[in-house]
Amino acid sequence: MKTYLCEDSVNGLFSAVFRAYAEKNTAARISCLLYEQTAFDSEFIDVKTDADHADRVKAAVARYGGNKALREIGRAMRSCEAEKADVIFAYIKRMLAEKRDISRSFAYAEVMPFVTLSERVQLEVHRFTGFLRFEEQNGLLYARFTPDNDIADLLLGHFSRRLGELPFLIHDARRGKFAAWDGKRAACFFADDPSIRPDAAEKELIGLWKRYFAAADVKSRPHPKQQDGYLPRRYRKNMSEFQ
Amino acid sequence: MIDANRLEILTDSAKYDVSCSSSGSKRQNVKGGLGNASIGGICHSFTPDGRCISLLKILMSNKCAYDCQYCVNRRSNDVPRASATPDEICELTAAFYKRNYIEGLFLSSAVEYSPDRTMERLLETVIKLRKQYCFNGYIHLKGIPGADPLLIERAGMYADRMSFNIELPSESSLKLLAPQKNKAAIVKPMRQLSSGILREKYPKRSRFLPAGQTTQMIVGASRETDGQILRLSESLYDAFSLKRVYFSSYVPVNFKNAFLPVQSAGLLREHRLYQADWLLRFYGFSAAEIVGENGNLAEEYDPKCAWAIRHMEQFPVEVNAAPVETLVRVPGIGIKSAYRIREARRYTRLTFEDLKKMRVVMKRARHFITAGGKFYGEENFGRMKNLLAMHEQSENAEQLSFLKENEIVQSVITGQL
Ligand code: SF4
Repeated sequence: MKTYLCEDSVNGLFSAVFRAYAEKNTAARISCLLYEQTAFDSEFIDVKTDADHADRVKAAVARYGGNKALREIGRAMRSCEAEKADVIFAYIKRMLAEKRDISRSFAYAEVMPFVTLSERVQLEVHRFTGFLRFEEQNGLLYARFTPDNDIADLLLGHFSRRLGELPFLIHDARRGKFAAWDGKRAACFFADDPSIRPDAAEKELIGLWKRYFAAADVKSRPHPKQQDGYLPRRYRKNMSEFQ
Repeated sequence: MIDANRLEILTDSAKYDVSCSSSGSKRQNVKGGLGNASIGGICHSFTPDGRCISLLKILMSNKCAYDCQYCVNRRSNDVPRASATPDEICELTAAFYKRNYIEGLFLSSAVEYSPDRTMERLLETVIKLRKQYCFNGYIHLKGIPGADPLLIERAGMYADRMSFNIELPSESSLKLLAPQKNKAAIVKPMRQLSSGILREKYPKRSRFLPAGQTTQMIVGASRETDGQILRLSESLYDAFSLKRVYFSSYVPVNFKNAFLPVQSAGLLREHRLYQADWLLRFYGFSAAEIVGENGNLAEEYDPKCAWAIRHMEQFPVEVNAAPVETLVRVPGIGIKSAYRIREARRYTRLTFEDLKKMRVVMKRARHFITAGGKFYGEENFGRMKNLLAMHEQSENAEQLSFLKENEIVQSVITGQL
């Protein structure tokens, strides 16, 4: 079995799709994991990201699935699932074979796994529009979080519209990735942990929030299972009310 | 900034109002302003009782002149009292909002002195929050029945949503347990807010109450049946185009009044009522179809399943042919699955395997459908009922969270609730 190993990005994936078609190897697998598990009969082919190749796949996808398909593939690529590249590859192959938009052909084996990838990413983005916690430090709002999927910059639009002229920094501590807003422009970069800690005034405010959180609970009707379902425990380590 | 003790008192007195949603408004931020609203609503945290925190839910004051028997804040109850100033509320809202603790403010109050005086205080606070603090996040304002209609109309120009609580499901219960309140006074402002006059004066695109009005009734403090409660909800939806009727299980806060139960209504009853309400709002069911007037919702099945069992003559339906309105009546098939089925069958004649691939939950549905003419359910009616009851039991603990999770997911997918 051949496996194309590509960079973990939409262009990386599209370059691999191009190679698979060019080399008539569409039965091969595509992976963007750095350390792919080796089966004894597998052969790995490293794919360098090639902008021209990627553009040609992009055009083919857009021809049948429109911008919507490109957007959804972009979102699915943010997923932390190990199999994502293969799932997306299967989806693209079926779309190119049918020469039409297959996004609503839910009975096709290639469609639901792809839709699920993209929906999970979207659900996590939605969840963090609520679960992200900012701390104010010298006029900067700083939020540290550890999302499952690579979504820091997908939160920029939401928070910049909402916070307007207030600058903020969203820090994905798992990937060392930052999404920043200075009140006018957005940026995205990788850097070391800035180790920002709340000062005394901020601690006082966090204290108020914790008092609020404790008082809002109806203690005679505990329902921790429901709490766990809506707010998975892994998300709580950066939420001040749970510290 | 408000001190922690008063914050605690004013939160503790506000928490029995169950409405928490921040959906329905698209209010946008303006230059130099803080905040906007998100149409599907956003949950910011969840307390150990499993409820969501979306808005800063707080009373301006819990010093009440009234003596509603089911309420912690009633005059005759010996609890710590406090009030906050408009500035304290505004400051706290902005500080919490900036840090993304909340989606906005849910402001309510006990009746301090008189309804007018109380409503004026509430109005003063939201105007300040909008104008001085330039706050464009979500505001849900509780209306005080009996307050001047002009105050109520003005409030609607600043709030995203307002609610007047119907409190108890019948006038006689109201007389018994909340002698200073009466149905006419509660319904009047609801009618005012939904009236054609206001609709004309503030056409749809204006910012007058973009998220409409809701109400809440307390379940289990008085004796009304589920049938009465659902009929009342249905007529409220029809008459005042309410966005939502909330059911709040009575939590015992008064052990002296012999009319009040000492135990709270079970979570299961509240859950069943919400499921039934869901059927009213999204699935095209009427209250009469769901439960008889003097009846209660079945405990052993969810209300849709109970309805289907009573109407086996309408089943099974063929998934390759049935219209969406029929598909959503199949137990286990939700709105999203029904639409998926409709889309998918345009390209493929659906089999059971296909339905599984599409993640349609078949445990319940298989007894009520055929796929390509094939039936995979239980033929024996008695055995089928047992199977359904068993599934329900094993799922119940998980299922109590079903509605809310569905809401979250649905708002993600469709951008609306
Ligand atoms: S008016 Fe009645 S329900 Fe409202 S706070 Fe006062 S006692 Fe409670």
